[in-house]
Amino acid sequence: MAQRILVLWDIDRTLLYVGDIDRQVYRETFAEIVGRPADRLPARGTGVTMPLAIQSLLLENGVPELEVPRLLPRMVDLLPHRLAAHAQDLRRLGVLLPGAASALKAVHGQAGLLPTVVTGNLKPNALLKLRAFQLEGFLDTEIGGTHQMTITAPLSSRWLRLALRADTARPSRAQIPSSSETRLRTSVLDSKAELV
Amino acid sequence: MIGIASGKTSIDELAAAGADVVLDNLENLPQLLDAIAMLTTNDA
Repeated sequence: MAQRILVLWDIDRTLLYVGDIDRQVYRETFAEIVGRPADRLPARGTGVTMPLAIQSLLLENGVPELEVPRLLPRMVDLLPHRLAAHAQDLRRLGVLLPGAASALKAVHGQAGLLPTVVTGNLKPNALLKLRAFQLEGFLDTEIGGTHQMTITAPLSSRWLRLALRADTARPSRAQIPSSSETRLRTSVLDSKAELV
Repeated sequence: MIGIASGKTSIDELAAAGADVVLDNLENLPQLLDAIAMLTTNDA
């Protein structure tokens, strides 16, 4: 099989911007799970992964630390449902950033490149956002990096290696340039950069 | 790593954060594809 190079696209603020919708979804999910409104919400555009943002949301709103392991999975489960309920808002209030669709299409059409995502979003949320702007078809969303339950460094090279190994029709680890690991790790830890 | 500047993060900030190439936006396709080609060639 010919070697293909992964092109990892961040989603929020690189391809699209959903404004306050994520924060609204946090609000609704917190209220439903905890039973009261959240006074403090995660900051915008920090690059923090969703599970980490949820953990902070719980702790900063007075949820006892001992309760977090029980509540966090429930919030992770509920968040995609709440975001799905805002699918129309994503299309109506969200913004596809200039050139994003054409850029994705161009990269998707390049022989030797395999475009996918690396994002702090939960996978279902990432897909909802991409679908809202009809971007999903330009990305292989079965590989790449999204977040689910893992709190720390879930997008490590080990994670990516496992993800790639899951489908033998896709590139093996040996075909990914060695520097991809470093690049991926850097992108995850860097909370500022909007990354391709 | 290619950084795309946004209203929130400037070109300088992206460069300081470690981006190998920083672009103003995604509208200049030849520039984007050139950047990808350059980085992937360097990786080879």
